[in-house]
Amino acid sequence: MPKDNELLERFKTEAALTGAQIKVASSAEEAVEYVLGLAKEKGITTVVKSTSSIADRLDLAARLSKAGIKVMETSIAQWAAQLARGQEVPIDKLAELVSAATGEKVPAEPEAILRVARRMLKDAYTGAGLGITEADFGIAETGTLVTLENEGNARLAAALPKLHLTLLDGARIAGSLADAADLIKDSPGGIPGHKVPTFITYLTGRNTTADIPGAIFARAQGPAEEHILILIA
Amino acid sequence: MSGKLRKQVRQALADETLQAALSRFTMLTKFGRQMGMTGIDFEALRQDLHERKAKAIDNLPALIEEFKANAAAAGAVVFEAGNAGKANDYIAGLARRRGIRHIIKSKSMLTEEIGLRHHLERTGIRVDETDIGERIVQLAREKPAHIVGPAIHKTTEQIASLFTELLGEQVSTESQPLLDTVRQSLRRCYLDADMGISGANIAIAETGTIVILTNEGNGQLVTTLSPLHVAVVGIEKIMPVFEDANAVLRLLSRSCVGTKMTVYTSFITGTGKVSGLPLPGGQGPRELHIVLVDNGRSRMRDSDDFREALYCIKCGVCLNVCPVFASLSGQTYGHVYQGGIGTVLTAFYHDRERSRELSEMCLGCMSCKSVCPAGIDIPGLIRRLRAQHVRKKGLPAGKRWAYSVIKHPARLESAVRACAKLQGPFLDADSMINRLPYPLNSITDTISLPGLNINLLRSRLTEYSCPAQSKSPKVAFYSGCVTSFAYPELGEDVMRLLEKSGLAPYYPQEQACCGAPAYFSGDYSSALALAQRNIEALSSGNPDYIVTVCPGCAVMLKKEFLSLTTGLKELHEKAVRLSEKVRDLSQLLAELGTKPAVKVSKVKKVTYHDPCHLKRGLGISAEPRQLIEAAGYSLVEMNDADACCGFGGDTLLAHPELCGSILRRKLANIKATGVDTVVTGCTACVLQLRGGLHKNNSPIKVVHIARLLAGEV
Repeated sequence: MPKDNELLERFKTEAALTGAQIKVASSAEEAVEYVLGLAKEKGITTVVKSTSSIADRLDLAARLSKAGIKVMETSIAQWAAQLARGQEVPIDKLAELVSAATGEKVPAEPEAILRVARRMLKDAYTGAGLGITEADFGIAETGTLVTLENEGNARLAAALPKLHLTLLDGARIAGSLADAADLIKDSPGGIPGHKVPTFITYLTGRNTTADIPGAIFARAQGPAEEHILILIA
Repeated sequence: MSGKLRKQVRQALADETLQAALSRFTMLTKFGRQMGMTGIDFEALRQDLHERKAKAIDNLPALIEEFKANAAAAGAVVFEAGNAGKANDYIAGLARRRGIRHIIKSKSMLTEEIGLRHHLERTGIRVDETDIGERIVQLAREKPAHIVGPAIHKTTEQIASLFTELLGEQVSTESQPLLDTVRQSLRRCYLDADMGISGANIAIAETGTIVILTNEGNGQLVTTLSPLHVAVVGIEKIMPVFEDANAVLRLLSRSCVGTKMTVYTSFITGTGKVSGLPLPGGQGPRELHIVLVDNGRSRMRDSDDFREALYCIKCGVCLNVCPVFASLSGQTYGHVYQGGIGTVLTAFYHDRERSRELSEMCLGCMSCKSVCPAGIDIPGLIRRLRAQHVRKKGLPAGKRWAYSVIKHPARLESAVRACAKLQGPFLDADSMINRLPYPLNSITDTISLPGLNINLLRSRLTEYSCPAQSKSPKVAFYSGCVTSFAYPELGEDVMRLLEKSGLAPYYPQEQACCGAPAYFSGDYSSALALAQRNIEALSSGNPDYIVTVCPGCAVMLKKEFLSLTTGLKELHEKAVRLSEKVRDLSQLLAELGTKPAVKVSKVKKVTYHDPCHLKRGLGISAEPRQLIEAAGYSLVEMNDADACCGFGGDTLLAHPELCGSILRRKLANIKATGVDTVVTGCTACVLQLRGGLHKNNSPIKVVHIARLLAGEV
């Protein structure tokens, strides 16, 4: 068996043990059908998503929209691009878009735009039935999903909606925590002065609490369910 | 001895709700750790973590500078606070300048340590804890009961009533709807707050990163949703590189909860940015302030005796296995940190006198040491605390007198003979003492004591002098005080057993008390005098082995004499040679592969209690079991066979109720096996178990393994 396959198998086993629900799709169509099926089964009407090359490849946002589900991009640049239909978005245009979306008159100043956009997005995260994010890679040893970002939207889209789905490229599995640290240090921070990205989240299983007597309860303060879609196409 | 602490101990023991919660907690965490340790090489991983922590603490001043530079380059503001007041003032000042009204906080023991929440609340800012356990104790106006589980002592009814009061609506007492209510109420807090405060489990110098672990997910929200994030970080959390953080991650959650990883492990480096647009920040905090707190840590680092305490990763597993914690829960400790490690931290961060009192509760069972993922010798730290106190304040009069007696075997023997003559009126039909006058009544309220035997072991074994020459291995028997004075027949059994096993035993007449009582009380000078005497007495006949029936004595002879004699060249060399020869009786018989001296004619069921010093002190637990079965007995394992029996000389005097509660759990486990004989390998455990069973009029017999192997019981 090739090494990648071994890592993937180990990842699947470990992630399943943590309580995540895993789907492996071997074609784009299978992947899309799975997401549509999940949304339907769970009665999802709104989705927030973070930047994802897998979702782009699957044309996932469009397919979900076509199925009547409202999809909102949460990276502010992507959100604006979605509304501007791919046109350039200068600051005054961005202010207009935010004003239109919030019904609040926002001046064309970066500070004000960011403040109002953040507030708008907070509402979107909490109101969404499903958050879709993409992990940069998985860790086989622990069944962990690793997400690197500077903006902070992915960690909110992963934590605040009722359900969370992580997209993962089946070829991107690190063997161990040590391998993961090497991968992280090799990825550029993207911000001057940063040796690593601002936010690195290791997500392992479902959020839980042992603070209410009786059992260890899932859905402490994050999503009720963790789904992982692994694409091996 | 403190009346106040003893009263608090009694209160905790009398609180039935608390006791029920504690036994659930102990069971759950025991199962959790078993799960967590599956499939890993714990010893190798903890050795790795220990070395990494040691290196980090050694280089701490340089690491602090490296961390500060990298964190600042990534956009964080780093403030170094020498003490609690400076940290609190900085954070309160920042909140005031930013006009903060409402703060959300994730759990951080350090913020408890410095009293941050109260400090901020006094300035009129609303502060909401977001870890559910911490939220519960905040509402209850209590301190956390456990480093990791602050509210382990609360029932659903108590929690529901706290939230009913907070929300002004009736809250369900059923777990699931209760949790839903708590989550919704916390969600409102996150969305309203304008500042988030967290701690950090690890800080990484090479990148200026802080690492925050939560299972509930509150850590993600506290560190992202508000425009201002303040992380309060103890300087001891700084480690050089990412791989160091991994060493912590590999063991932290496995140790305490039993999962491979905490659900959310969040690495935060500076402040973020929206990608692709010229906006002045990201969706996370616009400002990150990292407050590096010393508050006594450098002082700890400078002290060779206590530096190791800084290796603690605050996983809480030492509390989960501590028999004292299992009886009391954390609030009895009085400040913020609980258990053995808490006793040490309390001395540096809070209150030296309270720490001294707390140190009296430690039974030295070594359970904490055996599970600590950072390899911290917590019982050793406690002993050093006691020694520090003895150096500064001297011994209390009673102990001073007692150790002056045990230091001189002749004086000790005359004292024992005098007591043996006077004890008559106190003895019952079984030659047990059920009641002694004050202050010794605290012992006899918990256990019955064996009568002293006027016919001392030393006089019984005068014929066993050192053989000049012998074909079989020469074995010196070191009996220990309990055997010498209370159970001399056991000493005779040992000699017979050794002979039947083909060995040449002898009894060095010059031996004395091993000094353990003095040593563990911190009186090193008495302990050293006894070590010197015993080293001479036991080396003189040049034995092949030195055998003991009390693992407490064995640990002194084998390990502690080495540390006591450090720096005394000639004596230390002798101690090293002695150490190599010391064996517990069952260890020696197993090592030599001797045939059973006696085999029972009819299979009889017995259960076995692991003495703390035998299992955790010497690492011996399989050998006695093999010997018991080889002698024809059928072994019925009890639950928690290696849990402490509650024997502890000083602790028994200071906190008899506490020892009694630990003993009761042991006796319940023995009784649950349904067998009528419990075998053990330590004379102190025999004394404690027999005393407890006799007090309870139980017919269950306690037999030392030497007796069992020497003849049918």
